[in-house]
Amino acid sequence: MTIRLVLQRALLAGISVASIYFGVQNLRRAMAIGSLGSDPVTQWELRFQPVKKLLPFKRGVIGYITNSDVPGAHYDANNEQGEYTLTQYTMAPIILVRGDQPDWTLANLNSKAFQIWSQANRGQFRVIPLNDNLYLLHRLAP
Amino acid sequence: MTLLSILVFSPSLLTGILIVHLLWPAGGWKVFWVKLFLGLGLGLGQASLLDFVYMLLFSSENGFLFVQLALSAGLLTAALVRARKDFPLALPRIQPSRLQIILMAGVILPAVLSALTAVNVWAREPHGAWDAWMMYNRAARFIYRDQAGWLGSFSRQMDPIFHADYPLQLGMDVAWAWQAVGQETQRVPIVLSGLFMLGCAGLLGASLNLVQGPGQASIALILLLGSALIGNEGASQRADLPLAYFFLGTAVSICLYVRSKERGLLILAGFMAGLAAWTKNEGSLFVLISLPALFIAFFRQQPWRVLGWYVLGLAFPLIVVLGFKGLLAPPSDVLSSGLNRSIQQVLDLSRHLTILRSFGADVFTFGGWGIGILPILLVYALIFKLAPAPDLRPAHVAIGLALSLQALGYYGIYLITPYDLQWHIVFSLGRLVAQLWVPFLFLFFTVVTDVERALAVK
Repeated sequence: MTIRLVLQRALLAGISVASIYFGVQNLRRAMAIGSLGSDPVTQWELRFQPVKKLLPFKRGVIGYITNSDVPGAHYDANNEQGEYTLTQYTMAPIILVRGDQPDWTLANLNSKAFQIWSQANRGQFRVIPLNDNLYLLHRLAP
Repeated sequence: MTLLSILVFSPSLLTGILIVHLLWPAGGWKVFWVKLFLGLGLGLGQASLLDFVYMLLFSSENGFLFVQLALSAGLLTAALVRARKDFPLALPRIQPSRLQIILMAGVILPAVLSALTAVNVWAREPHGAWDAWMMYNRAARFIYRDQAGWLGSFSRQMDPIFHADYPLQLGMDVAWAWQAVGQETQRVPIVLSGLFMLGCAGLLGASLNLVQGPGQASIALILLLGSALIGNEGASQRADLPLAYFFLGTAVSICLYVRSKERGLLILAGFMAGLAAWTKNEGSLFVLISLPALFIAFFRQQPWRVLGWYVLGLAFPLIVVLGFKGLLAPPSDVLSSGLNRSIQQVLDLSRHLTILRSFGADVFTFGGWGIGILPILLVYALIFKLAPAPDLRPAHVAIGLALSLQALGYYGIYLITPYDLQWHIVFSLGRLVAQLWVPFLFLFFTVVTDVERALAVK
Protein backbone atom coordinates (compact mmCIF):
# COMPACT_ATOMS: atom_id res chain seq x y z
CA MET A 1 0.00 0.00 0.00
CA THR A 2 1.56 3.30 -1.08
CA ILE A 3 1.71 6.45 1.05
CA ARG A 4 -0.59 8.18 -1.40
CA LEU A 5 -3.20 5.46 -0.98
CA VAL A 6 -2.99 5.74 2.81
CA LEU A 7 -3.36 9.51 2.56
CA GLN A 8 -6.32 9.17 0.20
CA ARG A 9 -8.14 6.77 2.50
CA ALA A 10 -7.35 8.86 5.56
CA LEU A 11 -8.64 12.00 3.84
CA LEU A 12 -11.89 10.31 2.78
CA ALA A 13 -12.40 8.99 6.30
CA GLY A 14 -11.63 12.43 7.73
CA ILE A 15 -14.09 14.15 5.40
CA SER A 16 -16.81 11.64 6.27
CA VAL A 17 -16.27 12.02 10.02
CA ALA A 18 -16.09 15.84 9.72
CA SER A 19 -19.29 15.90 7.69
CA ILE A 20 -21.14 13.94 10.38
CA TYR A 21 -19.61 15.96 13.23
CA PHE A 22 -20.49 19.32 11.65
CA GLY A 23 -23.88 17.97 10.59
CA VAL A 24 -24.58 17.39 14.29
CA GLN A 25 -23.33 20.93 15.06
CA ASN A 26 -25.64 22.33 12.37
CA LEU A 27 -28.55 20.42 13.91
CA ARG A 28 -27.72 21.77 17.37
CA ARG A 29 -27.56 25.28 15.92
CA ALA A 30 -31.01 24.79 14.39
CA MET A 31 -32.37 23.54 17.71
CA ALA A 32 -31.09 26.68 19.39
CA ILE A 33 -33.28 28.94 17.23
CA GLY A 34 -36.12 30.25 19.40
CA SER A 35 -38.43 27.57 20.69
CA LEU A 36 -41.11 25.32 19.30
CA GLY A 37 -44.60 26.81 19.35
CA SER A 38 -43.68 30.41 20.12
CA ASP A 39 -42.56 31.88 16.85
CA PRO A 40 -42.15 35.68 17.30
CA VAL A 41 -43.45 36.47 13.80
CA THR A 42 -46.70 34.59 14.45
CA GLN A 43 -47.08 36.36 17.80
CA TRP A 44 -46.51 39.71 16.13
CA GLU A 45 -49.21 38.90 13.58
CA LEU A 46 -51.77 38.24 16.32
CA ARG A 47 -51.01 41.64 17.83
CA PHE A 48 -51.96 43.42 14.60
CA GLN A 49 -55.14 41.52 13.74
CA PRO A 50 -57.45 44.25 15.17
CA VAL A 51 -55.74 47.00 13.15
CA LYS A 52 -56.50 45.28 9.84
CA LYS A 53 -60.16 44.91 10.77
CA LEU A 54 -60.53 48.60 11.62
CA LEU A 55 -58.95 50.02 8.45
CA PRO A 56 -61.56 50.96 5.81
CA PHE A 57 -59.47 49.62 2.88
CA LYS A 58 -57.57 46.42 2.00
CA ARG A 59 -54.78 47.98 -0.03
CA GLY A 60 -53.36 51.46 0.34
CA VAL A 61 -50.84 53.50 2.28
CA ILE A 62 -50.87 54.23 5.99
CA GLY A 63 -48.40 56.04 8.22
CA TYR A 64 -46.36 54.34 10.91
CA ILE A 65 -44.89 56.05 13.97
CA THR A 66 -43.00 54.66 16.92
CA ASN A 67 -41.19 56.01 19.97
CA SER A 68 -38.34 57.27 17.78
CA ASP A 69 -40.74 59.69 16.04
CA VAL A 70 -41.67 61.30 19.35
CA PRO A 71 -39.11 63.85 20.59
CA GLY A 72 -38.14 63.06 24.15
CA ALA A 73 -39.28 59.43 24.14
CA HIS A 74 -36.80 56.60 24.74
CA TYR A 75 -36.31 53.95 22.07
CA ASP A 76 -34.03 51.11 20.94
CA ALA A 77 -32.96 51.68 17.32
CA ASN A 78 -32.47 47.95 16.58
CA ASN A 79 -35.88 47.02 17.97
CA GLU A 80 -37.53 49.85 16.06
CA GLN A 81 -36.16 48.62 12.72
CA GLY A 82 -37.13 45.03 13.45
CA GLU A 83 -40.64 45.99 14.54
CA TYR A 84 -41.13 48.17 11.46
CA THR A 85 -40.21 45.35 9.07
CA LEU A 86 -42.34 42.84 10.99
CA THR A 87 -45.28 45.23 10.94
CA GLN A 88 -44.98 45.72 7.17
CA TYR A 89 -44.92 41.94 6.71
CA THR A 90 -47.97 41.60 8.93
CA MET A 91 -49.97 44.44 7.36
CA ALA A 92 -49.41 43.42 3.70
CA PRO A 93 -50.84 44.45 1.25
CA ILE A 94 -51.10 47.76 3.11
CA ILE A 95 -47.94 49.84 2.55
CA LEU A 96 -46.43 51.47 5.63
CA VAL A 97 -44.63 54.80 5.28
CA ARG A 98 -42.74 56.35 8.15
CA GLY A 99 -44.48 59.37 9.69
CA ASP A 100 -48.07 60.46 10.26
CA GLN A 101 -48.79 62.25 6.96
CA PRO A 102 -51.36 59.79 5.47
CA ASP A 103 -55.03 59.89 6.53
CA TRP A 104 -54.53 56.77 8.64
CA THR A 105 -51.52 56.11 10.83
CA LEU A 106 -50.56 53.17 12.98
CA ALA A 107 -48.83 54.24 16.19
CA ASN A 108 -46.70 51.70 18.04
CA LEU A 109 -45.94 53.77 21.16
CA ASN A 110 -45.37 52.97 24.79
CA SER A 111 -47.57 54.88 27.25
CA LYS A 112 -44.98 57.59 27.98
CA ALA A 113 -44.35 58.22 24.27
CA PHE A 114 -48.09 58.27 23.55
CA GLN A 115 -48.60 60.84 26.31
CA ILE A 116 -45.96 63.14 24.79
CA TRP A 117 -47.29 62.60 21.27
CA SER A 118 -50.95 63.24 22.17
CA GLN A 119 -50.07 66.51 23.92
CA ALA A 120 -48.20 67.69 20.84
CA ASN A 121 -50.96 66.65 18.39
CA ARG A 122 -54.10 67.53 20.30
CA GLY A 123 -57.17 67.83 18.05
CA GLN A 124 -55.45 66.70 14.89
CA PHE A 125 -56.33 62.99 15.00
CA ARG A 126 -59.11 60.71 16.10
CA VAL A 127 -57.32 58.15 18.27
CA ILE A 128 -58.54 54.54 18.37
CA PRO A 129 -56.68 52.80 21.21
CA LEU A 130 -55.96 49.12 20.63
CA ASN A 131 -54.31 46.41 22.71
CA ASP A 132 -50.64 46.24 23.61
CA ASN A 133 -49.45 49.86 23.00
CA LEU A 134 -51.01 50.16 19.57
CA TYR A 135 -53.13 53.10 18.42
CA LEU A 136 -54.85 53.70 15.11
CA LEU A 137 -54.88 57.40 14.26
CA HIS A 138 -57.29 58.96 11.78
CA ARG A 139 -56.34 62.43 10.67
CA LEU A 140 -59.19 64.89 11.18
CA ALA A 141 -60.13 67.21 8.33
CA PRO A 142 -58.34 70.58 8.73
CA MET B 1 -52.05 20.77 4.53
CA THR B 2 -48.42 19.67 4.06
CA LEU B 3 -49.49 16.95 1.61
CA LEU B 4 -51.69 19.41 -0.27
CA SER B 5 -48.80 21.89 -0.40
CA ILE B 6 -46.63 19.18 -1.94
CA LEU B 7 -49.33 18.01 -4.36
CA VAL B 8 -50.02 21.52 -5.60
CA PHE B 9 -46.50 21.74 -7.04
CA SER B 10 -46.61 18.29 -8.67
CA PRO B 11 -47.99 19.41 -12.10
CA SER B 12 -45.24 22.04 -12.27
CA LEU B 13 -42.56 19.51 -11.35
CA LEU B 14 -43.86 17.08 -13.97
CA THR B 15 -43.88 19.90 -16.53
CA GLY B 16 -40.26 20.71 -15.73
CA ILE B 17 -39.13 17.08 -15.97
CA LEU B 18 -40.94 16.65 -19.29
CA ILE B 19 -39.45 19.84 -20.74
CA VAL B 20 -35.98 18.54 -19.84
CA HIS B 21 -36.83 15.14 -21.33
CA LEU B 22 -38.13 16.63 -24.59
CA LEU B 23 -35.09 18.87 -24.98
CA TRP B 24 -32.64 16.10 -24.04
CA PRO B 25 -34.02 12.76 -25.20
CA ALA B 26 -31.12 10.59 -23.96
CA GLY B 27 -32.12 7.47 -22.01
CA GLY B 28 -30.79 5.38 -19.13
CA TRP B 29 -31.15 5.49 -15.36
CA LYS B 30 -28.20 7.78 -14.68
CA VAL B 31 -29.66 10.27 -17.17
CA PHE B 32 -33.13 9.83 -15.64
CA TRP B 33 -31.96 11.06 -12.24
CA VAL B 34 -30.32 14.14 -13.80
CA LYS B 35 -33.53 14.86 -15.71
CA LEU B 36 -35.56 14.49 -12.54
CA PHE B 37 -33.50 16.98 -10.55
CA LEU B 38 -32.99 19.41 -13.45
CA GLY B 39 -36.72 19.27 -14.11
CA LEU B 40 -37.58 19.93 -10.49
CA GLY B 41 -36.13 23.46 -10.46
CA LEU B 42 -37.07 24.13 -14.05
CA GLY B 43 -40.67 23.20 -13.21
CA LEU B 44 -40.79 25.59 -10.27
CA GLY B 45 -39.14 28.27 -12.41
CA GLN B 46 -41.47 27.98 -15.39
CA ALA B 47 -44.49 28.04 -13.05
CA SER B 48 -43.31 31.27 -11.47
CA LEU B 49 -42.64 32.91 -14.86
CA LEU B 50 -45.96 31.79 -16.34
CA ASP B 51 -47.88 32.86 -13.25
CA PHE B 52 -46.36 36.34 -13.60
CA VAL B 53 -47.68 36.49 -17.19
CA TYR B 54 -51.01 34.96 -16.08
CA MET B 55 -51.41 37.58 -13.35
CA LEU B 56 -50.72 40.38 -15.84
CA LEU B 57 -53.56 39.04 -18.02
CA PHE B 58 -56.08 37.56 -15.57
CA SER B 59 -55.32 38.95 -12.13
CA SER B 60 -58.86 38.37 -10.89
CA GLU B 61 -58.89 34.69 -11.89
CA ASN B 62 -57.78 31.77 -9.76
CA GLY B 63 -57.10 29.22 -12.47
CA PHE B 64 -53.33 29.03 -12.70
CA LEU B 65 -53.25 25.48 -11.36
CA PHE B 66 -55.31 24.43 -14.39
CA VAL B 67 -52.75 26.08 -16.68
CA GLN B 68 -50.08 23.92 -15.07
CA LEU B 69 -52.25 20.80 -15.27
CA ALA B 70 -52.99 21.42 -18.97
CA LEU B 71 -49.32 22.11 -19.70
CA SER B 72 -48.14 18.95 -17.95
CA ALA B 73 -50.84 16.86 -19.69
CA GLY B 74 -49.85 18.25 -23.11
CA LEU B 75 -46.15 17.63 -22.52
CA LEU B 76 -46.85 14.14 -21.17
CA THR B 77 -48.79 13.31 -24.32
CA ALA B 78 -45.93 14.59 -26.49
CA ALA B 79 -43.40 12.56 -24.51
CA LEU B 80 -45.51 9.39 -24.71
CA VAL B 81 -46.05 9.76 -28.46
CA ARG B 82 -42.31 10.12 -28.95
CA ALA B 83 -41.49 7.23 -26.62
CA ARG B 84 -44.04 4.81 -28.18
CA LYS B 85 -41.50 3.06 -30.36
CA ASP B 86 -38.85 2.52 -27.82
CA PHE B 87 -39.60 2.85 -24.13
CA PRO B 88 -36.36 4.21 -22.78
CA LEU B 89 -36.22 2.82 -19.25
CA ALA B 90 -35.43 -0.77 -18.39
CA LEU B 91 -34.77 -1.77 -14.79
CA PRO B 92 -31.01 -1.51 -14.23
CA ARG B 93 -28.82 -4.30 -12.96
CA ILE B 94 -27.03 -2.51 -10.18
CA GLN B 95 -23.93 -4.26 -8.93
CA PRO B 96 -22.08 -1.64 -6.91
CA SER B 97 -18.52 -2.34 -5.86
CA ARG B 98 -17.54 -2.52 -2.17
CA LEU B 99 -16.01 0.95 -2.39
CA GLN B 100 -19.15 2.36 -3.99
CA ILE B 101 -21.29 0.85 -1.22
CA ILE B 102 -19.04 2.34 1.47
CA LEU B 103 -19.05 5.78 -0.13
CA MET B 104 -22.80 5.81 -0.81
CA ALA B 105 -23.46 4.66 2.77
CA GLY B 106 -21.34 7.61 3.90
CA VAL B 107 -23.94 9.97 2.43
CA ILE B 108 -26.82 8.57 4.49
CA LEU B 109 -25.96 10.02 7.91
CA PRO B 110 -25.14 13.58 6.66
CA ALA B 111 -28.39 13.45 4.64
CA VAL B 112 -30.42 12.43 7.69
CA LEU B 113 -28.75 15.14 9.80
CA SER B 114 -29.48 17.76 7.11
CA ALA B 115 -33.12 16.68 6.98
CA LEU B 116 -33.45 16.84 10.78
CA THR B 117 -31.81 20.28 10.77
CA ALA B 118 -34.24 21.53 8.12
CA VAL B 119 -37.26 20.19 10.01
CA ASN B 120 -36.07 22.00 13.14
CA VAL B 121 -35.56 25.27 11.28
CA TRP B 122 -39.04 25.00 9.71
CA ALA B 123 -40.68 24.18 13.06
CA ARG B 124 -38.99 27.05 14.86
CA GLU B 125 -39.10 29.66 12.10
CA PRO B 126 -42.16 28.81 9.96
CA HIS B 127 -42.07 32.25 8.32
CA GLY B 128 -38.39 31.78 7.46
CA ALA B 129 -35.34 33.85 8.33
CA TRP B 130 -35.42 37.67 8.39
CA ASP B 131 -34.80 38.20 4.67
CA ALA B 132 -37.26 35.47 3.75
CA TRP B 133 -40.28 37.03 5.41
CA MET B 134 -39.16 40.60 4.77
CA MET B 135 -38.71 40.13 1.01
CA TYR B 136 -39.95 36.90 -0.53
CA ASN B 137 -42.87 35.89 1.70
CA ARG B 138 -43.84 39.56 2.01
CA ALA B 139 -43.96 39.82 -1.79
CA ALA B 140 -46.11 36.66 -1.91
CA ARG B 141 -48.53 38.18 0.61
CA PHE B 142 -48.82 41.40 -1.39
CA ILE B 143 -49.69 39.38 -4.49
CA TYR B 144 -52.02 36.85 -2.83
CA ARG B 145 -53.94 39.06 -0.41
CA ASP B 146 -55.22 41.45 -3.07
CA GLN B 147 -54.92 39.70 -6.41
CA ALA B 148 -56.87 42.27 -8.40
CA GLY B 149 -54.61 45.08 -7.16
CA TRP B 150 -51.38 43.05 -7.12
CA LEU B 151 -49.48 45.57 -9.25
CA GLY B 152 -49.66 47.93 -6.26
CA SER B 153 -47.06 45.61 -4.67
CA PHE B 154 -44.35 47.46 -6.60
CA SER B 155 -45.33 50.94 -5.45
CA ARG B 156 -42.53 53.51 -5.24
CA GLN B 157 -43.95 54.36 -1.81
CA MET B 158 -42.70 51.10 -0.39
CA ASP B 159 -39.63 51.61 1.81
CA PRO B 160 -36.53 50.50 -0.21
CA ILE B 161 -35.45 48.22 2.65
CA PHE B 162 -38.22 45.81 1.58
CA HIS B 163 -36.66 45.44 -1.89
CA ALA B 164 -39.85 45.52 -3.95
CA ASP B 165 -37.47 45.52 -6.94
CA TYR B 166 -36.32 41.95 -6.20
CA PRO B 167 -37.24 39.34 -8.84
CA LEU B 168 -40.32 37.28 -8.09
CA GLN B 169 -39.31 33.62 -8.53
CA LEU B 170 -40.14 32.63 -4.94
CA GLY B 171 -42.90 35.19 -4.40
CA MET B 172 -44.93 34.13 -7.46
CA ASP B 173 -44.54 30.40 -6.70
CA VAL B 174 -45.73 30.89 -3.12
CA ALA B 175 -48.60 33.19 -4.18
CA TRP B 176 -50.05 30.90 -6.87
CA ALA B 177 -49.73 27.86 -4.63
CA TRP B 178 -51.66 29.73 -1.90
CA GLN B 179 -54.31 30.56 -4.50
CA ALA B 180 -54.47 26.91 -5.52
CA VAL B 181 -54.73 25.45 -2.01
CA GLY B 182 -57.16 28.24 -1.04
CA GLN B 183 -55.39 29.52 2.04
CA GLU B 184 -52.27 31.31 3.16
CA THR B 185 -50.36 28.51 4.82
CA GLN B 186 -46.66 28.60 5.72
CA ARG B 187 -46.45 24.98 4.57
CA VAL B 188 -46.24 26.27 0.98
CA PRO B 189 -42.98 28.28 1.29
CA ILE B 190 -41.63 25.50 3.53
CA VAL B 191 -42.34 22.87 0.86
CA LEU B 192 -40.88 25.18 -1.79
CA SER B 193 -37.64 25.56 0.17
CA GLY B 194 -37.57 21.78 0.70
CA LEU B 195 -37.91 21.17 -3.03
CA PHE B 196 -34.96 23.45 -3.78
CA MET B 197 -32.89 21.72 -1.06
CA LEU B 198 -33.71 18.35 -2.59
CA GLY B 199 -33.10 19.69 -6.09
CA CYS B 200 -29.72 21.15 -5.21
CA ALA B 201 -28.33 18.07 -3.47
CA GLY B 202 -30.00 15.73 -5.96
CA LEU B 203 -28.72 17.55 -9.03
CA LEU B 204 -25.17 17.69 -7.69
CA GLY B 205 -25.22 13.97 -6.92
CA ALA B 206 -27.01 12.85 -10.09
CA SER B 207 -24.90 14.95 -12.44
CA LEU B 208 -21.58 13.82 -10.91
CA ASN B 209 -22.87 10.23 -10.93
CA LEU B 210 -23.42 10.62 -14.69
CA VAL B 211 -20.25 12.54 -15.56
CA GLN B 212 -17.85 10.73 -13.18
CA GLY B 213 -19.38 7.94 -11.08
CA PRO B 214 -21.25 7.18 -7.86
CA GLY B 215 -18.10 7.43 -5.74
CA GLN B 216 -17.31 10.95 -6.86
CA ALA B 217 -20.97 11.94 -6.44
CA SER B 218 -20.96 10.55 -2.90
CA ILE B 219 -17.89 12.53 -1.80
CA ALA B 220 -19.37 15.75 -3.20
CA LEU B 221 -22.64 15.09 -1.38
CA ILE B 222 -20.86 14.28 1.89
CA LEU B 223 -19.13 17.68 1.65
CA LEU B 224 -22.30 19.55 0.64
CA LEU B 225 -24.53 17.99 3.28
CA GLY B 226 -21.95 18.51 6.00
CA SER B 227 -21.98 22.26 5.42
CA ALA B 228 -24.78 24.46 6.70
CA LEU B 229 -25.94 25.31 3.17
CA ILE B 230 -28.61 22.65 2.73
CA GLY B 231 -30.10 22.04 6.18
CA ASN B 232 -29.79 25.51 7.72
CA GLU B 233 -29.61 27.99 4.85
CA GLY B 234 -31.89 26.01 2.54
CA ALA B 235 -34.64 25.74 5.14
CA SER B 236 -34.48 29.47 5.91
CA GLN B 237 -36.69 30.16 2.84
CA ARG B 238 -34.22 32.74 1.49
CA ALA B 239 -33.41 32.83 -2.23
CA ASP B 240 -29.70 31.98 -2.01
CA LEU B 241 -30.06 28.21 -2.26
CA PRO B 242 -32.53 28.43 -5.19
CA LEU B 243 -30.05 30.77 -6.86
CA ALA B 244 -27.21 28.30 -6.22
CA TYR B 245 -29.46 25.62 -7.71
CA PHE B 246 -29.95 27.59 -10.94
CA PHE B 247 -26.21 28.35 -11.17
CA LEU B 248 -25.60 24.61 -10.77
CA GLY B 249 -28.32 23.79 -13.33
CA THR B 250 -26.62 26.08 -15.86
CA ALA B 251 -23.19 24.55 -15.17
CA VAL B 252 -24.49 20.96 -15.39
CA SER B 253 -26.36 21.64 -18.65
CA ILE B 254 -23.26 23.20 -20.23
CA CYS B 255 -21.12 20.25 -19.12
CA LEU B 256 -23.63 17.72 -20.47
CA TYR B 257 -23.82 19.63 -23.76
CA VAL B 258 -20.05 19.34 -24.11
CA ARG B 259 -20.32 15.56 -23.52
CA SER B 260 -23.26 14.89 -25.83
CA LYS B 261 -23.47 17.86 -28.23
CA GLU B 262 -27.26 17.85 -27.74
CA ARG B 263 -28.18 21.46 -28.44
CA GLY B 264 -31.33 21.10 -26.30
CA LEU B 265 -28.96 21.14 -23.32
CA LEU B 266 -27.74 24.61 -24.32
CA ILE B 267 -31.36 25.77 -24.41
CA LEU B 268 -31.74 24.30 -20.91
CA ALA B 269 -28.56 26.05 -19.76
CA GLY B 270 -29.89 29.38 -21.01
CA PHE B 271 -33.27 28.79 -19.37
CA MET B 272 -31.60 27.94 -16.06
CA ALA B 273 -29.47 31.11 -16.22
CA GLY B 274 -32.61 33.13 -16.97
CA LEU B 275 -34.31 31.58 -13.95
CA ALA B 276 -31.32 32.65 -11.85
CA ALA B 277 -32.04 36.23 -12.95
CA TRP B 278 -35.71 35.70 -11.99
CA THR B 279 -34.60 34.52 -8.52
CA LYS B 280 -32.20 37.25 -7.35
CA ASN B 281 -30.48 40.31 -8.77
CA GLU B 282 -27.19 38.42 -8.63
CA GLY B 283 -28.70 36.15 -11.28
CA SER B 284 -28.84 39.05 -13.75
CA LEU B 285 -25.10 39.49 -13.25
CA PHE B 286 -24.71 35.75 -13.92
CA VAL B 287 -26.60 36.08 -17.21
CA LEU B 288 -24.32 38.93 -18.28
CA ILE B 289 -21.06 37.19 -17.44
CA SER B 290 -22.15 33.79 -18.78
CA LEU B 291 -22.23 35.15 -22.34
CA PRO B 292 -18.52 36.07 -22.62
CA ALA B 293 -17.63 32.96 -20.58
CA LEU B 294 -19.37 30.74 -23.15
CA PHE B 295 -17.91 32.67 -26.07
CA ILE B 296 -14.37 32.24 -24.77
CA ALA B 297 -14.87 28.58 -23.79
CA PHE B 298 -16.28 27.63 -27.19
CA PHE B 299 -14.06 29.98 -29.18
CA ARG B 300 -12.81 27.10 -31.37
CA GLN B 301 -16.21 25.38 -31.65
CA GLN B 302 -18.61 27.75 -33.39
CA PRO B 303 -19.14 30.11 -30.43
CA TRP B 304 -21.95 32.05 -32.14
CA ARG B 305 -23.96 28.88 -32.65
CA VAL B 306 -23.45 27.90 -29.00
CA LEU B 307 -24.48 31.38 -27.89
CA GLY B 308 -27.48 31.28 -30.23
CA TRP B 309 -28.97 28.15 -28.61
CA TYR B 310 -28.10 29.46 -25.14
CA VAL B 311 -29.83 32.79 -25.82
CA LEU B 312 -32.85 30.92 -27.20
CA GLY B 313 -33.27 29.27 -23.79
CA LEU B 314 -32.54 32.53 -22.02
CA ALA B 315 -35.06 34.57 -24.01
CA PHE B 316 -38.35 33.90 -22.21
CA PRO B 317 -37.14 34.30 -18.61
CA LEU B 318 -35.02 37.30 -19.60
CA ILE B 319 -37.97 39.04 -21.32
CA VAL B 320 -40.00 38.55 -18.13
CA VAL B 321 -37.16 39.83 -15.94
CA LEU B 322 -36.57 42.86 -18.17
CA GLY B 323 -40.31 43.55 -18.35
CA PHE B 324 -40.59 43.37 -14.58
CA LYS B 325 -37.52 45.52 -13.99
CA GLY B 326 -38.35 48.04 -16.68
CA LEU B 327 -42.08 48.46 -16.21
CA LEU B 328 -42.99 47.48 -12.66
CA ALA B 329 -40.13 47.32 -10.19
CA PRO B 330 -38.97 50.37 -8.26
CA PRO B 331 -35.27 51.29 -8.75
CA SER B 332 -32.66 49.07 -7.11
CA ASP B 333 -30.93 50.57 -4.07
CA VAL B 334 -27.55 48.89 -4.67
CA LEU B 335 -26.87 51.02 -7.76
CA SER B 336 -28.18 54.22 -6.19
CA SER B 337 -24.84 55.80 -5.23
CA GLY B 338 -24.62 57.90 -8.39
CA LEU B 339 -21.70 57.99 -10.82
CA ASN B 340 -19.47 60.47 -8.99
CA ARG B 341 -19.75 58.74 -5.62
CA SER B 342 -19.28 55.33 -7.23
CA ILE B 343 -16.05 56.48 -8.91
CA GLN B 344 -14.80 57.89 -5.61
CA GLN B 345 -15.55 54.60 -3.90
CA VAL B 346 -13.81 52.59 -6.65
CA LEU B 347 -10.68 54.77 -6.23
CA ASP B 348 -10.65 54.33 -2.45
CA LEU B 349 -7.85 51.83 -1.74
CA SER B 350 -9.07 51.11 1.78
CA ARG B 351 -12.33 49.72 0.37
CA HIS B 352 -10.37 47.31 -1.85
CA LEU B 353 -8.36 46.12 1.15
CA THR B 354 -11.46 45.66 3.29
CA ILE B 355 -13.22 43.66 0.57
CA LEU B 356 -10.15 41.52 -0.21
CA ARG B 357 -9.60 40.73 3.46
CA SER B 358 -13.24 39.75 3.88
CA PHE B 359 -13.27 37.67 0.67
CA GLY B 360 -10.13 35.86 1.83
CA ALA B 361 -11.51 35.22 5.29
CA ASP B 362 -14.91 34.04 4.03
CA VAL B 363 -13.64 31.85 1.23
CA PHE B 364 -11.13 30.14 3.50
CA THR B 365 -13.51 29.62 6.42
CA PHE B 366 -16.66 28.87 4.45
CA GLY B 367 -18.70 25.86 5.47
CA GLY B 368 -18.45 26.21 9.23
CA TRP B 369 -15.81 23.46 9.46
CA GLY B 370 -13.33 25.56 11.40
CA ILE B 371 -10.48 25.48 8.88
CA GLY B 372 -12.84 25.95 5.91
CA ILE B 373 -13.85 23.49 3.23
CA LEU B 374 -11.82 25.18 0.49
CA PRO B 375 -8.44 24.43 2.11
CA ILE B 376 -9.67 20.86 2.55
CA LEU B 377 -10.41 20.72 -1.18
CA LEU B 378 -6.92 22.06 -1.92
CA VAL B 379 -5.44 19.20 0.10
CA TYR B 380 -7.86 16.81 -1.64
CA ALA B 381 -6.66 18.02 -5.04
CA LEU B 382 -3.02 17.56 -4.00
CA ILE B 383 -3.58 14.02 -2.76
CA PHE B 384 -5.95 12.82 -5.46
CA LYS B 385 -4.42 14.93 -8.28
CA LEU B 386 -6.28 16.80 -10.97
CA ALA B 387 -7.30 14.78 -14.01
CA PRO B 388 -9.58 16.92 -16.18
CA ALA B 389 -10.93 15.02 -19.17
CA PRO B 390 -9.68 16.80 -22.33
CA ASP B 391 -13.09 16.49 -23.99
CA LEU B 392 -14.71 18.40 -21.09
CA ARG B 393 -12.27 21.30 -21.40
CA PRO B 394 -14.77 23.82 -22.86
CA ALA B 395 -17.17 23.05 -19.99
CA HIS B 396 -14.45 23.50 -17.38
CA VAL B 397 -13.38 26.80 -18.96
CA ALA B 398 -16.98 28.07 -19.23
CA ILE B 399 -17.95 27.16 -15.66
CA GLY B 400 -14.62 28.28 -14.17
CA LEU B 401 -14.78 31.60 -16.00
CA ALA B 402 -18.42 32.16 -15.09
CA LEU B 403 -17.79 31.53 -11.39
CA SER B 404 -14.65 33.73 -11.38
CA LEU B 405 -16.40 36.60 -13.18
CA GLN B 406 -19.39 36.27 -10.87
CA ALA B 407 -17.10 36.58 -7.82
CA LEU B 408 -15.46 39.59 -9.50
CA GLY B 409 -18.91 41.09 -10.01
CA TYR B 410 -19.68 40.69 -6.30
CA TYR B 411 -16.39 42.45 -5.59
CA GLY B 412 -17.48 45.33 -7.83
CA ILE B 413 -20.88 45.60 -6.14
CA TYR B 414 -19.21 45.92 -2.74
CA LEU B 415 -17.01 48.68 -4.16
CA ILE B 416 -19.98 50.83 -5.19
CA THR B 417 -22.51 49.85 -2.54
CA PRO B 418 -24.36 52.84 -1.05
CA TYR B 419 -24.44 51.06 2.33
CA ASP B 420 -21.79 50.97 5.01
CA LEU B 421 -19.24 48.58 3.48
CA GLN B 422 -18.48 46.58 6.62
CA TRP B 423 -22.17 46.15 7.41
CA HIS B 424 -22.94 45.09 3.83
CA ILE B 425 -20.11 42.53 3.84
CA VAL B 426 -21.04 41.06 7.21
CA PHE B 427 -24.68 40.90 6.17
CA SER B 428 -24.26 39.26 2.78
CA LEU B 429 -20.82 37.88 1.87
CA GLY B 430 -21.31 34.45 3.45
CA ARG B 431 -24.43 33.92 1.36
CA LEU B 432 -22.74 35.14 -1.83
CA VAL B 433 -19.98 32.58 -1.32
CA ALA B 434 -22.66 29.95 -0.66
CA GLN B 435 -24.31 30.74 -4.01
CA LEU B 436 -21.08 29.83 -5.82
CA TRP B 437 -20.23 26.90 -3.57
CA VAL B 438 -22.50 24.27 -5.16
CA PRO B 439 -21.51 24.87 -8.82
CA PHE B 440 -17.90 25.07 -7.63
CA LEU B 441 -18.23 21.63 -6.01
CA PHE B 442 -19.55 20.30 -9.33
CA LEU B 443 -16.64 21.84 -11.23
CA PHE B 444 -14.10 20.59 -8.69
CA PHE B 445 -15.30 16.99 -8.77
CA THR B 446 -15.36 16.89 -12.56
CA VAL B 447 -11.74 18.08 -12.62
CA VAL B 448 -10.21 16.02 -9.81
CA THR B 449 -9.37 12.32 -10.30
CA ASP B 450 -12.37 10.05 -9.81
CA VAL B 451 -12.14 8.55 -6.33
CA GLU B 452 -12.95 5.02 -7.54
CA ARG B 453 -10.25 5.13 -10.22
CA ALA B 454 -7.72 6.57 -7.76
CA LEU B 455 -8.31 3.86 -5.17
CA ALA B 456 -8.58 1.03 -7.71
CA VAL B 457 -5.24 1.69 -9.41
CA LYS B 458 -3.16 0.69 -6.43
